[in-house]
Amino acid sequence: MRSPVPLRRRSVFWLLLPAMPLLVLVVQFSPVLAPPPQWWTWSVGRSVLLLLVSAAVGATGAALEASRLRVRRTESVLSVRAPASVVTMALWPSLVCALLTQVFAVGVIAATGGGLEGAIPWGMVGAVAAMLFFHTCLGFALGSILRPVFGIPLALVASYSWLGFTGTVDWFELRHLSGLVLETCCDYEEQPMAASLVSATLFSLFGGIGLLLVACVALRLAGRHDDLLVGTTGATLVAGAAVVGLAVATGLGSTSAEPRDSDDLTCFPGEVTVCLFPEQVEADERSTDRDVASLPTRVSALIRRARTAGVDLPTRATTYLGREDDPHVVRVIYQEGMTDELLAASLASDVPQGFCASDDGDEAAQRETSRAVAIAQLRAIMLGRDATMDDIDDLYGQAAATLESVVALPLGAQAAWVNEVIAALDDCALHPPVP
Amino acid sequence: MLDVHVSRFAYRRGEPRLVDVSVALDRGRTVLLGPNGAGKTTLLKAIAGVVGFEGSLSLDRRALTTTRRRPPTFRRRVGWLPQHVAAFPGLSVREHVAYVAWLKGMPMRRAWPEAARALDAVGLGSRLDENAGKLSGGQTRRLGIAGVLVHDPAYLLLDEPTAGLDPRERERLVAILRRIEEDRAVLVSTHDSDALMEEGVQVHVLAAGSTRFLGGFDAFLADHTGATTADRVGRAYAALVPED
Repeated sequence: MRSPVPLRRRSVFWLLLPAMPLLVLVVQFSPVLAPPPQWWTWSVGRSVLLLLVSAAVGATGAALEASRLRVRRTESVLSVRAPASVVTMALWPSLVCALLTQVFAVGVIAATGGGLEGAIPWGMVGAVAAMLFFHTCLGFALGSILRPVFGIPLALVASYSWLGFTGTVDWFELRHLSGLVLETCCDYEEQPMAASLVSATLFSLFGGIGLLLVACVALRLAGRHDDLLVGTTGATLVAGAAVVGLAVATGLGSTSAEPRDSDDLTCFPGEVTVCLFPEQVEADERSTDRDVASLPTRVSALIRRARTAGVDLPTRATTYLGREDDPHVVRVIYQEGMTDELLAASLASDVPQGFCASDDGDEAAQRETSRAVAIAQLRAIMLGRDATMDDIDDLYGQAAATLESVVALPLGAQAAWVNEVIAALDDCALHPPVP
Repeated sequence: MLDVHVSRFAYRRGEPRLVDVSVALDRGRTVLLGPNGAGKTTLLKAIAGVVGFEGSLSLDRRALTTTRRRPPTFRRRVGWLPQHVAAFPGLSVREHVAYVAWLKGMPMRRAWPEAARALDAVGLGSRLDENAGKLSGGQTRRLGIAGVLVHDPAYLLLDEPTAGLDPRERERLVAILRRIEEDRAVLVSTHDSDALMEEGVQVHVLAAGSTRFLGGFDAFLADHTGATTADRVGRAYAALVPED
């Protein structure tokens, strides 16, 4: 079936040539600090940063298509085709190219760190697709309204600015509206916030449709419909979508990640029950040697060793981040390739924060120092060795003496001291004991 | 039969551009003459539906709206060639005409062969694959006519199709018009009375937004003498529009 405008005449396909290498370059020069989670959600979330490229492809391609129609907009008044048909025919290659670029971005991210384990986060995928639709419509509208010499570069600039601007302002709702905040999503223990996805998707879809209506008026494609009505409806849709999107995002913070649903956990029962997300277990099996014990076994062994020594740790470990103050579980954060040393550090750092408003300066310093030493000691007990100053983040310069005293104690007394410190961190009425 | 009566049209309130102008198109050529600013282009736009007007409009005795919201049947049966023809950027000659046909509601499987046929009819059959944007002025005008012809409208509205053309291109265009108007009605606005005024055409002289003359070629020339037909046309026109 022949297309009214042959594919080889669609300039947007040529934009893919610089876009693809540019994506690879951006990924190479945007190193991830921690080992990236090897699952779809993180890879899709991380790819949102690369919307800067794919959205530019969609917006610029659509502006080029709009400029083609704009040349003969006076004759368009006499077109018999439905406006939706003309716009769809003009728009689809740009949208498809933008989506292809984004799929390529996910692929590059998956290949250079992230992975594609677990379930595809369709909500996020839908939001990203909606965002690309919005940018494509934005380019189409600008290409329709302005002469090509202004419309095409402005489409590129507007797309880039919308993402760049909203990604830096302190008004967090706006970040959720534009969707760039999805870039912060998600480690294995997290999932995207529904409100964040809904905000970006609603705004992008209805805002995009509104922009298309405005473009129809500019291109005189409104046909038998009243220009004023169509234009006003378009502008109202854009404004309304922004208001609704902001309202949905009200109260959201600087990240679009929230604790992942605990229903997804897989629990490994035993003397210590270890609850992990399936992708974490799979990732650990992939990233560690075959002769190393499984992740649940390693976590369980660390906790058992501490309990055997006398530390009152719960018999349940979970990677679930919700219900932070639940005293019956100890939380563990998992990252790709974690050694026992790092797992112990993660488990030990789950002791209470110990912020007490009633503490004066010295008391606060002592509490903080005791906490730091207790964490180091707990970690050392889990690993069956002595703690050293290298294990401690010594903010107040008082940890060395405390550590020296603790290490001098027998193992049972070390565990008892750790228990007392944890109790004091949990209860501001108590003071951390001097070892 | 396309019957139009523009009782009044104004771009700005209080500044009417057309007042009491009637046009009836059935078959053959009607030449629309008039000085710059007489309202020729505006009249063609009003008939085509590019702008709405106060008055009446009927196609084959069926009354239609005079707003821009003309029904698809009207849009299919009426073709309009603006004074400045622009080719769709980046398309070949054939792709341009096929795209225009598609916009006029023709499915692409029909538009593609019809485009070649329309281009043949205007003498561009050998340039199907050339870039439409690279054609000369006269060729671009013919490209525009092919775009109007491709959906086979019964009524053609051509706005100054010979303007700016060299004599050879003009002759070629008039020859094309003669073929087209055998089975269609063509309303053609022009300053170029030499090329387009000939035996059998209808003449409509417009000045200051109203009709100064409407009738046959012979009636237009009656009472005006001259060595050649062109002289007589010139005198008849000058008598009607002394201000031009």
